[in-house]
Amino acid sequence: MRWKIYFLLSLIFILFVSCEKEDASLTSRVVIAIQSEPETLNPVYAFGINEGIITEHLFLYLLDLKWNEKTGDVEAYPMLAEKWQWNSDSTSIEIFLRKDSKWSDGKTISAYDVVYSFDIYSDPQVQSRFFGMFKNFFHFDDGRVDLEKTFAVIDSFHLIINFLPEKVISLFDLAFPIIPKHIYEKLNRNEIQTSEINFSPVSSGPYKLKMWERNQYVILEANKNCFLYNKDMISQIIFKIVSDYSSIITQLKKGEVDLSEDIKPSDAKQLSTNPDLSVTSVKGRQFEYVGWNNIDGKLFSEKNNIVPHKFFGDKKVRQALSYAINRKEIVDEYLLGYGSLCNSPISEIFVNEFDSTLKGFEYNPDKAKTLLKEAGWTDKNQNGVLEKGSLEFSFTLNIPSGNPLRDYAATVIKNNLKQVGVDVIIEKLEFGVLMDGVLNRKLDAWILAWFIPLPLDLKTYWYSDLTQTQLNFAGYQSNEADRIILELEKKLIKEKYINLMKKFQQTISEEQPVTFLYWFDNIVCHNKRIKNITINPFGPIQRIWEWRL
Amino acid sequence: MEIINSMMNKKLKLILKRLLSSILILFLVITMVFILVRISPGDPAQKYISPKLSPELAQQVRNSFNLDEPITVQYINFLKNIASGDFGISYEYRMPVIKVVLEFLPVTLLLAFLSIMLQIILGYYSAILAIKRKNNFTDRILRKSSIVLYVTPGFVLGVILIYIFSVQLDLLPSGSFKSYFFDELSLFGKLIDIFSHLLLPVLTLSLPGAALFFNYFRDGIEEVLQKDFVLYLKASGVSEKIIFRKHVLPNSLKPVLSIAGIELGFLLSGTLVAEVIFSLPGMGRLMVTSILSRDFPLVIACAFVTAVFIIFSNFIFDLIKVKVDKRIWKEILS
Amino acid sequence: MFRKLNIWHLIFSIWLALLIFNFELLLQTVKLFYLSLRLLFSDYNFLSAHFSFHFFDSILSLIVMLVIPILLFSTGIRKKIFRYRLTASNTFIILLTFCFLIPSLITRQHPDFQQNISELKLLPPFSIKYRIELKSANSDSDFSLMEKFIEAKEKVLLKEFDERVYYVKNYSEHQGKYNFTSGSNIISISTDSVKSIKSEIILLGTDEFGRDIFARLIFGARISVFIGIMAVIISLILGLILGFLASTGNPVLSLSLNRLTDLFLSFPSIFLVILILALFGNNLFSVIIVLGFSGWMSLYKIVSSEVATIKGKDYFITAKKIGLTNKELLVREVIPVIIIPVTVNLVFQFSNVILAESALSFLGLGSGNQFPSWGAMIEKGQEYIYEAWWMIFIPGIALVLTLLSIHNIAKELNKFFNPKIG
Repeated sequence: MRWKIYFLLSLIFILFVSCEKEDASLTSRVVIAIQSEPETLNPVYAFGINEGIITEHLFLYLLDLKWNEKTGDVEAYPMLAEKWQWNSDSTSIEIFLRKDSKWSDGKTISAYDVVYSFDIYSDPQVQSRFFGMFKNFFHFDDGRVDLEKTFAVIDSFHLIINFLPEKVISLFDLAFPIIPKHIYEKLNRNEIQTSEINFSPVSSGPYKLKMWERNQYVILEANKNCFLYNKDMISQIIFKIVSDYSSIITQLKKGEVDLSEDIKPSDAKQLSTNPDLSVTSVKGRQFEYVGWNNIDGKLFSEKNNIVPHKFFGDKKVRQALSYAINRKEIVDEYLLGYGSLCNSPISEIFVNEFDSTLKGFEYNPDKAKTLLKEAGWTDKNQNGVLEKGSLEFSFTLNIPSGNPLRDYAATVIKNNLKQVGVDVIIEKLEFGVLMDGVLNRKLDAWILAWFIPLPLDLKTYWYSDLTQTQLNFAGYQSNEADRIILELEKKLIKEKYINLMKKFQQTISEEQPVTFLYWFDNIVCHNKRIKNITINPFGPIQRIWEWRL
Repeated sequence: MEIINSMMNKKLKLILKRLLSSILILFLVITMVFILVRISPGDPAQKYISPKLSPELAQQVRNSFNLDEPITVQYINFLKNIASGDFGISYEYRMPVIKVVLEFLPVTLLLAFLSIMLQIILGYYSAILAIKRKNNFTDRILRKSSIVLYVTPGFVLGVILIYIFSVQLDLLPSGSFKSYFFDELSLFGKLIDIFSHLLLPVLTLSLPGAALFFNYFRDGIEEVLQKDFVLYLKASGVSEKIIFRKHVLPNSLKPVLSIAGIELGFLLSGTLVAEVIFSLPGMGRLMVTSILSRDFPLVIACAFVTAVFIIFSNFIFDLIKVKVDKRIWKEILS
Repeated sequence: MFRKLNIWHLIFSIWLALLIFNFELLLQTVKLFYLSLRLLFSDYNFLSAHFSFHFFDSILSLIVMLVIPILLFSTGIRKKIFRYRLTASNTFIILLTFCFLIPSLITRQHPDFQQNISELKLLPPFSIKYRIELKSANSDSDFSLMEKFIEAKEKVLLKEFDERVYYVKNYSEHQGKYNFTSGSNIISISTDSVKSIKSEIILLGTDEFGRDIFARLIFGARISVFIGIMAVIISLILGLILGFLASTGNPVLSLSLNRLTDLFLSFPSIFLVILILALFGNNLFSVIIVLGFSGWMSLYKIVSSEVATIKGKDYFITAKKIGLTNKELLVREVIPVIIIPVTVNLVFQFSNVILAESALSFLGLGSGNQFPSWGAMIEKGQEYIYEAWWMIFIPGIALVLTLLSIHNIAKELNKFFNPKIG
């Protein structure tokens, strides 16, 4: 008898619990799942994607950049800058700021804040995330912007920015969040990293920080003092930290979470059948590749000598490996339509630059075998693994642990290469260790992804001089590509620019410094109650102030 | 009087001795962890270095992490800092690691205490039930299912519980510690909110442990019940309840308490699997994420706190054991 | 009836079944063995290029198949162990042992075999697939020794891929051609070039690459058991050495060893394991070593305390006084006493290691995907829990059953050695 009463009581209790949560979630809020805790809300150090998303809504920019699908380019709209005027040869810009924009502590945002922001971002002592991005400004040798030459402040809301005359200036040179001078000024510059403003920022954006509960939520609420405020705006945005991926899926289905990015293709298929959810994706911003070390890493790091790698130094071998890999199978079976084959580091979202005539390397194991034979690799002892002299074609393919897509690709690739007589051992490394190996050129082969920066940047990733760029992981050596990259740095007419871009794609595809695998979408799933949501190459979580319920 | 005094002195000495050896162990733990993290490959500064930095500037940033000094110098500095209570600043959270640990500790403490209580209570009552109906159907079911529960890995159990209660029945939330609208709830609502969030993780943590306690209680009580003195007491007309409370239970508690000490220690050190499955912000997850992100000061602090808890909980349960049975003073304090 | 079954009945019937089903294969293995012996003397360089794990594995299978009947019918051993009554637990353990020793005779599918992913992926248990085998191109009858060797090897060894075989869910025959899909392509092959078409049952379904889960489970058992055994051996060696060192009578040594044990016990071993694996990389061998090194404490405690008690016992002192050497003392007096608790502890340790490996895999720090292990299968299965329950359930059940059986056996052992307890 007693047990029955206990049981009944607990049943009532549980029912009560499940009722309670219903009524509290009716107000205008949206819950966005993020997988890891943001480290800081300070735009200076917002290195991670989540920090980027949150600080974008806390801090205003000079210009509001929007993506134009048709031209595959960006367009600028007023934000802090009410209007602006380029001079005739576009080496300087005159900016008129809004007079009604305020910091969350009540101070007005002025031209001095703008100047100060560029000062902080370019200061090597601060090590901001934008450091090194001010090459088009008048700057000192250590990278710091030369404030006197660059800025002419006419009054608090009117300033002129001058650029280096010979450079190609783009709108992205102004795309930095503006930070409050009167707050940062009080801090010692090398103490900004650990100061309190990382957690309780003085902000200006359409949203402001309401609460930050460690490892649980970051809650933003609409900022009524911002000129972007609109009464229909969603009043609270909750960034909920859910570290376990499968819980995100469960919570999306249950309505505990309204939006999440980085959904796996297999889940996308199944989520899209849910009547409350809508699945879209950001295309063409990230591609995955198999990196072949083109140069002998050991000789390079010891003596700075550039010697072709024993396996992958030969262009024919790289082409053969690309022929041997069944990229289409990976795209079809894992990405399930949320991706496309990749033939060069420029995707089709760049409507003008993209070379659609590029064929790429279609799966063809026979051709791979022929090419390998031409390069001198044969299986004399018939043990299933090719050899050249006494060297067996056997290497380790490294992948970062905890990434299912790369895991999948690696398994397929291993099997594919085995069929042409190349022995592959897959080794998973923790991401930090993998990056260490790649940067110091200790690894032979690896699978990683590149995120395509806006604006396009080829030199950082593919230029031959390895002392100038650390990011040419494969050690790609090509005179032709170098020539094109240097040419592209000059001021060019549009036609010439596009021709060069196409030429670059043909060159890199022919030489296959890496095997370009596929573009994979960033799949976003959101509850259909969110309206007016823009999802384009800029990212899935942007312009939240335009969302409606 | 003097005899009591000398006994007290002896006890005090023994306790002091144990305290000293605990401190030594703590010292060894942090030394071991320090050496491990410092000789490991991978570079914690990597993610703070923009790929666009020139190699010299990248080196400058690296230097700011003080990772380039010889390991002995680092170790001495580190010990100096620890001695003054300064565990350093977390790379990841950009604040003192002590502060970070304090934010994560309450969840683990709550989970651990709830779970150990539930384990003991469940284990005890089911054991009593089994003994009352010895060799009958209930007993056999309890015994069999306790073994199955005991061997079932926590992650399997957790996934199953989520699948049943959260996905299929939609009764309880599948993760997190509290709802985002927590602050707007009434006091009662707050309690319910936390309860509903913690029910599944606590069950996941407790069921295998409860099965263990069930076995220990059952075996222990039964062994004592078969002893001659119980028969003698029964024969001399002492009521069964009193025999049970005053004689059987205390005598059968010793193994249970040792197990409880170990169990609590492990629970306090972070209820890792449950925290991962139910995305709770506890010590276990903090430790694993800090290891994965190579947040070395935080790793060391977590190891330290964990070791303190394990030593402490063993000590507490040893004291309880003494309370129950005074004869074992020497045995445990040596 | 059932109660009268002994262990050897089970072993013998499994052996017989394997012999009947794999008779041709075993003959080929004999041939392969013979050819490789001949090659050993004529062309060693050629032969050594063909040495691989799978090569030795198939030879080993042959040897095991030969040894089993000898073992069963050599009366001495049979009486002791093989007459033991058959229970659910030891049935399972025997099956596991077979999987460990001769997986390639239990399943003829390579655990990594993948082909035509679009057709075969995520098929539920008991689905049917068709195996279309093409005729081989060359059929020269004039074989050299090497070619004969390669032919035999092809037949015996499991293959990761096979260019002459297609697996499909469905096919149609039309105008002398077989048509079937492979990904988004339709392939048609003329009936003349096809050697055979057989339908096969996929017993336990397939995974996301269309690999056979049954084969992976069998080969995975081998890896899990291997990890368990190796880690336990490491713990055993460490525990024994340190335990004996502690009981040599040197107070400094024993004190420092005791503190070392406390150190390891006061830090949850799972964190130490995670710390080391995350920092230094996780693969099969690092997992074995780390798990081995994290489990020696209980053995150490048992050995040192047992030895200490024995030393105080009268019979030991007498034996020493009689003038037995240290070695004799160890063999005659110490080992018989400690072997019982150590064995029981080892069995528990074994199940702990298997559990720890799967828990590590769950956290993504297991033995990796180079070899199929149960933990890795569970880890993958989590990703597909909504689409393919069998991917996580089957290895999960196998894991729980194994742990349960080991646990029961350890309890039996305990009961057997100390009848009083339990």
